[in-house]
Amino acid sequence: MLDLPPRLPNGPILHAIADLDEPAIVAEEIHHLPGARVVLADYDALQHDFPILRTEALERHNPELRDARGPNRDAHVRAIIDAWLLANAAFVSAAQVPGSAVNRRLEVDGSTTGYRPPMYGRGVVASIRENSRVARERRWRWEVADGLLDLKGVGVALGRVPSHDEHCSGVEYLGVALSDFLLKRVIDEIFRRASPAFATLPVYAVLDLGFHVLDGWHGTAAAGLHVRRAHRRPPQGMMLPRSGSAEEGIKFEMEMLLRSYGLTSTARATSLAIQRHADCVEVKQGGTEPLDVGADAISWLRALRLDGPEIWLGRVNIQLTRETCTDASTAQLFDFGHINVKRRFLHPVCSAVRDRPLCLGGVIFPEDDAYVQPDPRVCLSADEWDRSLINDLGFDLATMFGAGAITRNELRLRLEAPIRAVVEKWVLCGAC
Amino acid sequence: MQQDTKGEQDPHAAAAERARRAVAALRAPNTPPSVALVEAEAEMRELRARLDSLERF
Repeated sequence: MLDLPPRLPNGPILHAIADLDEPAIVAEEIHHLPGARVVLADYDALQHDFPILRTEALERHNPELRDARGPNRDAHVRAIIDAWLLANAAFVSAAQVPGSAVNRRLEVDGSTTGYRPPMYGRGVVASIRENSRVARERRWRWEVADGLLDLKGVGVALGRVPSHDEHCSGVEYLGVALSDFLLKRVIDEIFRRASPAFATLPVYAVLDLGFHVLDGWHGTAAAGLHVRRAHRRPPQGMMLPRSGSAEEGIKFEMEMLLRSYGLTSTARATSLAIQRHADCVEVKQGGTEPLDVGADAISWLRALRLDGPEIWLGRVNIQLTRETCTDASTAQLFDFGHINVKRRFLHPVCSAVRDRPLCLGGVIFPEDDAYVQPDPRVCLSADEWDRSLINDLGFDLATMFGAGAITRNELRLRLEAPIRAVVEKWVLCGAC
Repeated sequence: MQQDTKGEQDPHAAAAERARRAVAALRAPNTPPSVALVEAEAEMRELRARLDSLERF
């Protein structure tokens, strides 16, 4: 049913660390994990972005590939690309290796340099050319070339100690990496049909890193890694646009488009709870953390009718690559961890900007004509797509894969089954 | 605007149209222009730090 042609955003495709244009980027040692495995891979995207992985290029270095035919040949090509992925992406930061509350001591078999841009949290960017300097015995061969991979879930930065405090573990559950991938894929299907100028950042692969996250919010389970196209983020990590900018409009438009399908980037943690007590107005981030709010902001909230007994205000949290600031047609969405599905939207929603009190841009209220509710013809069912449910699906599949109970192909078919159901629903209502 | 044979708008096209209308409404004067802009960098960094934390919600 996924019969529309696949579409990859053009890029830019970055080749060298300098292309990231991050003056404050920090180099650090990252270590290779010999027990990692490829769980999902987008071979079309990899061959599109890395010409050295195209079949004709691989043939030049692997004579046995020239003799292979049909499905056997495709399997060879995929096996070589898998080996390339593991050689270039199966890394963990040095801070994660000795072991901590988050993971046991890790067995590693070599190291290279990773580059951590500001505000990257648990991610680094790896250089293919630098990785090639690490001599490692391997069955398959490929050309040495420039190229970058963005690795999310690689661990905390040097000097930090991994912990289960918020944002401090450095790692990602494989189950969550899989559910993120599922959300990315369904958003791809939405963008292709409804707004072809929008795209998601390509995810080349999801890896099982071969170790477990210990006693985290989902207990003890396999660690995973997102391997994404390297990309530039807004300068100095400033993810919020200026009010009135094209970028503010694009982010809001993307959020409103997703809302027709029941999806939203707004969440409790980034919403504002605005409470009036007698003559006092109190604003709490996520409903728990009081914010220091000046008189200007209070008067603004009153002018916006946002000073009722208690009002929740959702703030749009769409994260886009840097080029969106200058060219709307290149809008690429990344980070799906906070995306969720709702049956109905209940609260005012605002754009988030960096140059106004409370980062509060324009506001739309549920009673406004322009307020978008899920369209029953096309929306995702909350009974199947609620974040906790698709996380459960990801964790179940990760567990079965780890136990050898399902193959990679079976995992992918089961993971993408909800997308096939959604597309069938769209077709039944006369849409594509 | 894409329409089917019954003259109904394609649901995906309708979703895109609603999104564009919402942006237009966002630009409408429901945001008082008289409020002075403030230096919100600290607030922005605080929000940015939370943007990555939402996987639990």
